[in-house]
Amino acid sequence: MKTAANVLWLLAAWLGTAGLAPASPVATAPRRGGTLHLATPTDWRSLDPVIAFDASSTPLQKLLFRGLLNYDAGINLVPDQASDWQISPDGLTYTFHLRPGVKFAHGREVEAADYVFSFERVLDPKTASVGQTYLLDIAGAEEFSLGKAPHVSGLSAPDARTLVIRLRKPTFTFRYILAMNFTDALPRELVTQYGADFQYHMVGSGPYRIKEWRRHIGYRFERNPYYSGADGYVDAVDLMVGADAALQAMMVERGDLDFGQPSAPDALRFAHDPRLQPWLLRVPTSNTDYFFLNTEMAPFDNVLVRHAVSHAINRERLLRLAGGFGGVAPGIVPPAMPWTNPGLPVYEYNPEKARALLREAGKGNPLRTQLSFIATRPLDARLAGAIQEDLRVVGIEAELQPLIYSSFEVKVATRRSAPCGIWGWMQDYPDASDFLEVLLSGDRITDTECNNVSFYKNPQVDALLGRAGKSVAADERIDLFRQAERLVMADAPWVPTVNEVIPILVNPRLHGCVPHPVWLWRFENVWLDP
Amino acid sequence: MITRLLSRLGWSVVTLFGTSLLVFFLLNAVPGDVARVIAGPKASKRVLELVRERYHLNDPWWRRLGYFYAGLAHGDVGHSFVTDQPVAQAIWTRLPTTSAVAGLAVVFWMTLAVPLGVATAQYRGSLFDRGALVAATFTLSLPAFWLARMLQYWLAYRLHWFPVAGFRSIYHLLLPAATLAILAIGYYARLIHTNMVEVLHSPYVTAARAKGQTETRVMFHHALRNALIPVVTILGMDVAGLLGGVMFTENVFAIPGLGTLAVQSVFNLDVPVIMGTVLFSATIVVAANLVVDVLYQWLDPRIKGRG
Repeated sequence: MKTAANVLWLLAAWLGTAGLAPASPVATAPRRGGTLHLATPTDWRSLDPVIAFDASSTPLQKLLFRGLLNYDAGINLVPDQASDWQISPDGLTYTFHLRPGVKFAHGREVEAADYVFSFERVLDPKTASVGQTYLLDIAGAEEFSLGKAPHVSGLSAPDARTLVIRLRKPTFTFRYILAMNFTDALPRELVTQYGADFQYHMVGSGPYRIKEWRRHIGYRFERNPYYSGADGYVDAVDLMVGADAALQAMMVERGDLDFGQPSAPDALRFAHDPRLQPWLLRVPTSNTDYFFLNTEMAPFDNVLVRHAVSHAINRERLLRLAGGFGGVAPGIVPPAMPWTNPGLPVYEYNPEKARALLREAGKGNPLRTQLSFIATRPLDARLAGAIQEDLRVVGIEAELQPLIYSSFEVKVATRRSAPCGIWGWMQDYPDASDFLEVLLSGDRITDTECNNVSFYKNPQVDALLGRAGKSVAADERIDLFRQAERLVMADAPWVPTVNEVIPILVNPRLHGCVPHPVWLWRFENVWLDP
Repeated sequence: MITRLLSRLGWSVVTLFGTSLLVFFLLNAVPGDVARVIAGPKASKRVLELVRERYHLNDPWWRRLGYFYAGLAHGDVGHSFVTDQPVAQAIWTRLPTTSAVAGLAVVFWMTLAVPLGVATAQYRGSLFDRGALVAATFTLSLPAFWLARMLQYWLAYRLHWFPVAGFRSIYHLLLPAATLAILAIGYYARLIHTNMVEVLHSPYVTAARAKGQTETRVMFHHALRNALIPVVTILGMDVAGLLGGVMFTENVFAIPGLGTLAVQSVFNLDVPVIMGTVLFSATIVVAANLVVDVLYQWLDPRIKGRG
């Protein structure tokens, strides 16, 4: 477990970013009642936790579905619908005891067998769940997903309230996966009964249930009458589909919505208006946007060229182009995780130094390359233009390659395909491995569908990550990840650009809506003025 | 008459077939991995493969086209890639909303355009007539998305006279309908004006006046009824166009109609829904054309035998 000092600096780092945000005014004690009005620009594919995999629907899924673990106000895991949990000393076996009296919204008590069923549903490729790859560390999961076994051997329910999960190798981060939405409990008899249509008859064990869902039009949630937890203060949730960012800002201001996500210009309008300022909250996200350099492709196979690019890009300007919300990224792992790494190399904006480094690399002017970006994201297009200009100044001619999302994704993840481009990553769970291991491990390089889009390989880094992966001691892991991040930054396969901050609008009648480091924001703990 | 009707029907089918082919090939030309769109950025290879199988994404284009027409023949337009909802259901659930907006808009603009057209014809050349002409040209030239946002900003957001957006009651449809009406009033007022002027110079109006009938009776009983015949046929076509989805207006006001469905499906690269909405709009326009054609023959026997 973390030492007190570690916890303190983690807390300090978190406050350093989140504390700047004006807190939601807490004028009253939590009270029950009222209808919470929310909006979304487009409907989701599904709120079924096994299918949905987007940050925007997570706070709503949490109203309907619950699982074994959750986060406290920070990044500490706490039992949610489990009463207690143990991990065996070898890190292989997780044992959960379920809290008695926890019921689904149709009245039946949640049983350990529901978790076994729900996990197997995620692992079944026919479900097409994005969660599938995350659960493959469970013993027997691979065989089950390939159709070679009728059940997952590592999952068992010795009695109705005990769940035992056995892993095939010790995996420190597995605990975080058990707090991800797709591991929430689903009633096995209803899922079996409805099959693929379960998404239209969803029942979970969260504080609310769906009363009405009109596709692309709106949702209405009402209380789960069988819910025994203390949270879930509002009586009902009304969600309107189809309101874009500009509309949401107007509607929050008019009082038609209690919560909204404004466009950057609207957020700035709120920030500069003394009357509206308290309505605006800044939510730091555990996200790092970056300009990747493919270390297997010329000219970025030369570390001096990568250093030159790191000095050539004016990241302050990129942040201003992004609306000024957020901060210049100091490294690979986002500070909001929370995370600090004091020893990281710093590449200040210095075109002169960049040109000198290019001369040292023996590269004649101008160097030519192609810069890939997602054309349908207006901000990325602006950033691409700015980076192109920064590179031109130091003698690198980058031809812009605008691509639609899915083509971009295929191109950058294919070996020797995209020399450089604009990309970003949002954490799945608050652990540095989710950035360093997932995105920069040389052991994970594949010819296609590779998350390591820089195709960066440094045996020293891989050794450190390997040791961190085997370790179960939190302090040791943090130390190893810090060392790895310093080495990566020295090799400069990325120019980390911006850590995003999402502006949100909260009507003053809504209380308790505060930024969360993992869920961004939550609605189960909010309450409304009478 | 029957031969002509059959020939028109045949051409309507050809038009729709051509439209569907065009949309199919345009959508096939769009780069991008649809399986990724469906399964999400972090889906495994195995999941992607299953998605491709399920939606026949690995098959050659001609086979997929075959599946599409086979489905169509059974009345099945397919399922949305994004929501898995049957496309026909998505369209039918949104049609009433779009119809309500369109219906309200037509009531608004005809209520204003008819008296305006009649009055400007009556006082032709007056300052009032010229002023109306300028105003008509102005409103006719307004971009829909701009007008919608302006009305929303000033009348709803600033003055609080109307709801800003969404659809909970008929009250929420007033501004979207007003937007569409403002864009059309000028055109219809001028159309009625022109027809009225023409009719007012016809011999039967002169005859009616010579019989000593009151000017009101001449205007409304003799002139307007005849002047409205061509207007009604154009109105039929316009209503068909509106039912195809009022893209900008619906989107600005977040009205869950066919227009928002079409726009969202394009953003999501939701091929079956794009196909469905385009085909639906095309069908309505083609059907309206057919009806107007037949109606015209019935109204004006001179057209018989031509074409």
